[in-house]
Order: sequence, then structure tokens, then C-alpha cells
Amino acid sequence: MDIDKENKMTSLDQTIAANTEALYARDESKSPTPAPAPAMPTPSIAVTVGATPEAEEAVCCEPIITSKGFDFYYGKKAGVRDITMDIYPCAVTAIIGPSGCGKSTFLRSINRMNDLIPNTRAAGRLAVNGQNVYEKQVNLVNLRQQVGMVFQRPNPFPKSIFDNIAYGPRLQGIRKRSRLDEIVEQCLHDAALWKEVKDELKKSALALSGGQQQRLCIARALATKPKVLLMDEPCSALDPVATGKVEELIRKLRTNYTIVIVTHNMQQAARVSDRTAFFCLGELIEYGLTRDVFTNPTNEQTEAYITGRFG
Amino acid sequence: MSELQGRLEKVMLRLDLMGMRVEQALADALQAAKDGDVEAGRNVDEHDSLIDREEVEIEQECIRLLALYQPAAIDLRMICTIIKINNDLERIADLAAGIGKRVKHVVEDKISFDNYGGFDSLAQAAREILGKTVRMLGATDSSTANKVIKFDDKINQYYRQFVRDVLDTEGKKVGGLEAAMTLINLAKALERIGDLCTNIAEDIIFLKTGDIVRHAEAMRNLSNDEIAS
Repeated sequence: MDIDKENKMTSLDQTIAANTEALYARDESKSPTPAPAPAMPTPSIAVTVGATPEAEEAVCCEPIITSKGFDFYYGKKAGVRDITMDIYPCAVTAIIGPSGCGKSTFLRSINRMNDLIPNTRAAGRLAVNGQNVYEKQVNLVNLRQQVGMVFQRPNPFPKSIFDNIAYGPRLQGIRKRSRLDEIVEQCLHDAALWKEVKDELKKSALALSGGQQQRLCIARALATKPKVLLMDEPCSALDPVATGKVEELIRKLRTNYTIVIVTHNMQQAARVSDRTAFFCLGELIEYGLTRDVFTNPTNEQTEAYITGRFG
Repeated sequence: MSELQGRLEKVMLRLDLMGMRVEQALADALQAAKDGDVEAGRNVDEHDSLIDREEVEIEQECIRLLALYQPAAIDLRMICTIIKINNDLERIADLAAGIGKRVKHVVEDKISFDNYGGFDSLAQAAREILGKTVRMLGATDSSTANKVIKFDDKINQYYRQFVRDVLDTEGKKVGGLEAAMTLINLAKALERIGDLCTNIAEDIIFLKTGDIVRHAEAMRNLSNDEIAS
């Protein structure tokens, strides 16, 4: 129980820390000496990718996230080593692998969530929309607005449902009530939660069920209009019904968002993703179309892992 | 070894055993036809229900494994392959039972196989391809699979030659139609056994490599058409 509470606080703290950091950074940028904040380049998506693996295969479009020889170190220990992979827009990419293989490290590197951990270092290139996220001039606020994150445990703020979603837009300076109403409704619609909560938007978010809380967190992440959504085991604390709803939501969202999901549930990766990457001991072992990886993987280690022979 | 792998190994063993039973059924049916032993032929037909029951049980176990373990990769391919091979073996057993049932007609039509050396070659080839197939199951060997697929061409050739011989001989006789029908039905069953063994061989290749080699030409033409359109 205590451990649970601690985990919940840790992940809640992380979101609050990230958002507070965003808040302060924004305030700083309004101050007379703003920090240099080059805008992220606009996405250069050549072709819209279909939501089906069949459509995926035929598509040749610009990747939205490119990783080339990317390393991430915790002190002297490498969390991930030499990761080279392209993540494509408007598709779901799943990262699977045994515990400690670096999948969360890689995911959290994409929006530099790992910066919150002291004594860490990145090397190589990890770019979102062509911009290396580890360059010094990168504005973390802009980056995290573009690359939203959903955590393992639902972590709504201890505020009303409305305020949870309006939090990000308010940070962006939107004050007009009618505009906020519009955003909240749209995000709740997009997160498939509107019908369930439309009459009780003032209710505390903490009164929602676990599954509803997680969809609220997704709605909250959508409110800043991200291009990419990172999901770190988003269903591991949910029951099968809530998991089903979140998976359905992931499938729906992939028409407009790029989703990268880390999951321990292999069937979930198989069900929701277009591409799957298998990590082991900090290295990328295999990356390909999900239907190929789960029916006929090319690497023996991948096969051993997905069939439960090791890991 | 995980529980799933343990259970899969057991199903594979059952399938192997079923293959041997089917092989025996075909040998018995052909012997009965040759000897004109109606009773032995009926025996093969009656024993077919054992193979039918085995087929159902193997399929039930495969469905249970799919539902309980949600297998992937080699495990998934293995279950799919077992379901298909199970079905094909059962159909081979049905064909053997059909030969057993027709022994009665062989006797009634006073057919002497001595007049048809071609039938012996065909029967021998059918037994050989089934034997190769069953042994390939035990070893899940994809190199034998290619040999099985090639061997089926030989069976088809024997079949066509045999049908020509029957039509030439029986077709000219008065009242030879029944005998011709019986002979051609027997030969057709053997020719079908060759086809089903080919299916099994193709399934073994899929199990080993993940490649579907069935209808390769049609699939190629289809994808060419798609490119063209």
C-alpha cells in the first residue's frame, strides 16, 4: 500500500514538475530578458499515413522522430546504447522488452523527461521534427508541448475535471472562458470521456474511476495540441475493461497523433501498434511492422522474448 | 520450457501419432482392395471414427491453447499449422476409409489389379508420399517438404496414365463402365492423398520459415495486377 502510494506520488510529482517547469519557463520568457527559445520547425509530413498496418507498409513518408546512434547514461552506466530508429507520424509504435532493457529510458528521452534525474547524459542524435532535442538551445516547454506524456498510473491533478484539462491551455495564456470550454469539450471528446463526464466537469478528477482518470490524463495531454504522445505503460494499473477503452482510444488517436507506447503486455503491443521495437539490455534488437514481428520475427532473441522463452 | 511449449510438444506428438495411424489405414485399405477382402476394407472404414475423434480432440486443444496463452511467432505458427495438418490428415484417413468401402465394388465388378500395373505404381507412390509426410511431421523438416511437393507431380502423372489405361481397356468392354468407375474412384482417392500431403508439406514450410508457398504463382500475379492498377 505504502509502495503504491509512493509510486503514485512519484509519477504525479513528475507530471507536476514537468508542468511547473513549463509554467516557470513560460513566465521567464515573458520577462524582459527572455531565454532564447527557437521554435520547433513545423512538421514536414509528406504523406498522411493510414491507420492500418497495410497502409503503413506502402507508405514512404518522413519520420517524425529520428534516432541515430543515440546513447543515454545514468552516471557511467548506459541506459540505452546506439539506438538508431525512425518513428513515423500518425502511427502507433510500440516498444517492448524485458525490465531494465531501456525502453522507458528511450521513451522519456524523447521529451527529455530524464533531465529530471541527476547525473544523466545523452549522446548521439535524437530528433523530433528534424530538431535534435538534446541541443542546448531547445526550449523544453516547446518540446513538451509538442511531445506529451501519459504515465503508468493515472495522475490527475487534485483539481476539477475541467481544471485538469484547462491547465495546459491556461499556461499557454488562454484565459477566455468560452475558448477554454471549447478546448475542454474537444479534448474530452477526443479522449472518449465526454459522454461520461459532461454533466460533472466541476467534480474532482480524483473521484473518477482508474480508467476514467487515465483517459482524463490523455485528454489533458491532448490539450496542449501535441504532435507526439508518449505512453509509458498506460494500462498497467487498469482493469481489462478500462484497458480496452484506452486501447480503443489509442487506435482512434493514431489518425491525428504519433503515439509511442511502452508496454509489458505483448498482446497489447500486437493489438494497438503499427510498428514494434524490441529492446534488450539497452540495445535495439529488432524493429519492424508489428504483424511481422509477432508472426515471424527475424531475430532469435525477439522470438524467444515474445514467446516467453526468456525475459 | 514454458507450459505452453510443453503442451504444444504434446499436441505435436499426438499429431505425429495420428499420422502413423492414417498411414496404417491407407496401407490396410490398399491391401484389402488388392486381396479383395471386403471385411478388411470395412474394418478400415469402421476404424476411421477413432481418427475422427483424435482430430476433434487435437483441434479442441489447439483452440484452448490459443485462448489461454495468446501465442506469438513460432508458437502461433505451430498452432495454426497443427490445426491445418490435423484437418488434412483426417481427410486422408477419410479417403483411405473410402478405398476400404469400395473393396466391395472391386469384388462385385470382378476387378483384377493384375491387369493394371499402373494401379500398383500409383498405390505405391501414394503410400510413399504419405510415409514421407508423416516422417517429416516427426522431424518438422522443411527440406523433406520440398521433396514431398515435387513427388506429388509423379503421382499426378501416374494418375493420368492410369485413367487413360482404364478408359482404353474397360471403356471398350461391354458392361465395363462400373469397373471403370470403381477403378477411377480408387485412383482419384490416391491422387487426392498426394495433394493433401503437398498441403501438409507447404504448412511445414510455413511453420519453419513463415513463408506461405501455397498458390505462389497466383499470389505473384495478383500482386503484379495490383501494381499495374
